[in-house]
Amino acid sequence: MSLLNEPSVNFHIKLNEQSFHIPNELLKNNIKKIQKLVERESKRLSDFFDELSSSMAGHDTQTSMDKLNEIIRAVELLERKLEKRVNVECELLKRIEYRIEYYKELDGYKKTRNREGLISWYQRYTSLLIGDYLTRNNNIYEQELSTGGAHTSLRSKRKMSSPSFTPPQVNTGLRFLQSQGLEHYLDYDILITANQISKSLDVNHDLSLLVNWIKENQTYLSSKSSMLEFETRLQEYVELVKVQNYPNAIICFQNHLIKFINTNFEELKLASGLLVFIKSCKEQMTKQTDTKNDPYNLSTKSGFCHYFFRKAPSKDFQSTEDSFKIDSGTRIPRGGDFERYARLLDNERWNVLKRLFLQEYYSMYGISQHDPLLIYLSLGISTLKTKACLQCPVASETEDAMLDKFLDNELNQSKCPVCSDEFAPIAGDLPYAHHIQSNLFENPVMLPNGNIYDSKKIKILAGKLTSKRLYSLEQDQVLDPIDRKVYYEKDFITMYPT
Amino acid sequence: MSELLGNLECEYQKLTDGAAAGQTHLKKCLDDTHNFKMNIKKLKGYLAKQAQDAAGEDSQNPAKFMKRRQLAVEKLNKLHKQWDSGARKSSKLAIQQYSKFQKNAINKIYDFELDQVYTNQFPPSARKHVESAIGLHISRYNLCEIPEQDSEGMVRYLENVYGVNSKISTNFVEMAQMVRQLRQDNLDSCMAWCSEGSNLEFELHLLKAMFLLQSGDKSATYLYLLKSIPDFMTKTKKSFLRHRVAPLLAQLVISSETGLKLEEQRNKCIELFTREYCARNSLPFDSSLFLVVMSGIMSFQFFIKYRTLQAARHVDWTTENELPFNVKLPDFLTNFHPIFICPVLKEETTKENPPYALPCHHIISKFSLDKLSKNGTCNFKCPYCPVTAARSKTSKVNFVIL
Repeated sequence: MSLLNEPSVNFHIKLNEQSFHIPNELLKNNIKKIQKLVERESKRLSDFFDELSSSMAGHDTQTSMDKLNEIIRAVELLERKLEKRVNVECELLKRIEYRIEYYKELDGYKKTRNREGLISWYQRYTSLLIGDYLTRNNNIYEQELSTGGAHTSLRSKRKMSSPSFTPPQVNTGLRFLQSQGLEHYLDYDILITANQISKSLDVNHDLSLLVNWIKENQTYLSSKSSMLEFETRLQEYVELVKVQNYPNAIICFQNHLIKFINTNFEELKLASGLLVFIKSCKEQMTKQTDTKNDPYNLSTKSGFCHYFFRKAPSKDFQSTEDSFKIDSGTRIPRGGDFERYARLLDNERWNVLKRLFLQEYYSMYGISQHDPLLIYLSLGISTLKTKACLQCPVASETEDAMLDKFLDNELNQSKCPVCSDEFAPIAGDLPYAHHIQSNLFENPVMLPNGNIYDSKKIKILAGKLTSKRLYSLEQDQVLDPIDRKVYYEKDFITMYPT
Repeated sequence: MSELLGNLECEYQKLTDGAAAGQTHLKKCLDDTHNFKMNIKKLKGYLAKQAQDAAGEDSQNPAKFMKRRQLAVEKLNKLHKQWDSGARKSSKLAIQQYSKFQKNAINKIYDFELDQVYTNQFPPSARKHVESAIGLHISRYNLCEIPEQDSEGMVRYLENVYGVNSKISTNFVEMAQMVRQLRQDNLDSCMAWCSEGSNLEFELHLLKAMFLLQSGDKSATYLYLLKSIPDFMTKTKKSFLRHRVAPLLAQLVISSETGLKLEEQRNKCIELFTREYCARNSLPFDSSLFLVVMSGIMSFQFFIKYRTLQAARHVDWTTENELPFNVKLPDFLTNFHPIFICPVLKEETTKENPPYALPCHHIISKFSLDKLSKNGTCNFKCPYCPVTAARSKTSKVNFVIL
């Protein structure tokens, strides 16, 4: 029997397969890069040696010496590159080692039945989940920090192509992990890259990081026949159209979109249509600007379209707008389905793109799509939630605030995590735990008001109240912490709950 | 040891000792390249010297020079071939080894995806509550590790970095400062804080004596123990604590520092102190987040099992709004609310179906009471004893855990 009914070490390892899977993926990436490097360099060196042999045969000492120097330089360069890769390998192997040690520690606590050790192990486990959550959701806290250095950091980020780099701006989650000495237990670099790319999408509306990432992982994406590249390029095109940069929009279309003609014909049709449609809007714009009191900038085309279509939730509304435009003499033909253009122009597409990216990214590394902390919380709350949770406070109050505070604290229900201020608002929609056994207490006695307590504990409570001078009670009196009235011990009724 | 862990460790060992003990194939490739470079350099030096000699001696013995040169070139080519095949072999072996590790270690621990069990997903609006729970957790456990000293700075740091509401973090600042001092061997503020005659005071006295003993001042240690302990004993009459002093006194006599469990004692003091501090200030000792995560860890395997079963047999659970299985949690996670299962209906009592006490002091739920009494129209026999009961003689009860 385990100490806390906790799962076995085997299950823990299965549960955290990610923390072994990710370093192994990175190791495999690393070794593939080395293989390419070695192949390339070996070919180059072979050529060098051939040249050397011929110059040697020709007794051309000077050329031979030059060639030899060239060879040495090439080997030196290769050595440095290899060294970098070896360091990467070493760091990744260390990660695996740290994690193995971590589970060996758990194994040790379980074997020696060390309850405190086990609890502290789970404290660290919780910290890791928090670190994971903070790393993935970094942007919500660092908005004010990032406004200052956004430009410089973006530029330096662009230069760095591999996912294993230290970011110029310290991620909250990483900072938390480092303060706990836990950075080796989580593959934060992978999560930070995901966070940076997704943040640049939905906060800055910047595609450059994503485009780079797509280039680097082209093989993976095409092997999955992912739509990510298409959606990204389509977004690039749409953004260019929005700012009226038609030449570049057309170049983008020709360079990056046309190859999807067989798979995404409809979208491409729509995209080309957008070009025409947006142009037709142009003449309309000046007239509209005066008549509409708008929060958006209607003097630009994108502002106008944005305003116009975000405001058009239903088809009916669309068609009224539509006829309105016919009346004012626009060239847009009647009956055109404008909602589809609206969807294309909508900023919500950035969110869709972000989700698609994260989905591809997480599945590439075998990382869970949802924040693990949220998964644990959802399961945990349900498992803890009893039918008595989330009820309005049942205890009545006295005039004495000190006494109320003390009594509230003595009631175990006040410590229930599901009923806490933090979790009560999100626990409501989750299912209750299923119980097959009563879980009560020893020596149950009923007071005349129907409340049933552990008779020893209610007497201890009376003792504490007297000694702390919070309430004066006679020798054989107790205070009911729920209705806060005084009862005599002689009125206790022993109960037999089964 | 757990079989998966043992396997993982064994396969990991094979990785790190790929080429030789403590040398991966990659490292070998690097070492070979390094040696290759050094050897070329040597040969280059040799050739340069030969060329110089040849020029100096004015081709006195051109045949000999030619031969040496030829040898050097041959050696160079041999080195190159050696390196070339070695490097290719190493990188190939490394690739093979990592795929072996994938196959023998990683694939074996893969069983399920975390996302599979996340059926009751939180809406995006839940995040702000989760984040406040994180804030509370960090304030409770991690406040003394932040790089700020003064109380205002600590609160500000938590707010800026983790977005913790200052109302929450302020509660824990004093505690964190005292824990920090305890860690820095400073007991004064904690000693002043603790209530007289408490166990915390006693343990702090012991810790103080240990500090003195560690510094090597035996007489000061003895005097300190003499001054504080008998006094404490007479005041509190906690003479059962006496045995805790004995090992320290023994240490004084046998002058060895090996048996001094100072860190253990310090942690004990910190634990006792945080417990008392939280109780005195009505703060939760365990953060709600930690308790919920613990319960999540305990229940995870049941959720996985249920998912698998459900997928395999297409069974479904009919009781709405309740989990389809029972999870046995450790006692520190189950003592918040009483659970009463009605012995007749075998169902948990609820607000709509509360427990009722019969005149014989047995307890059943309201629904079973209605059923047995046919909605109060007749008397009935208690299902557990021969006493007859009427609904009018029953009363609603309420279990409360202290």
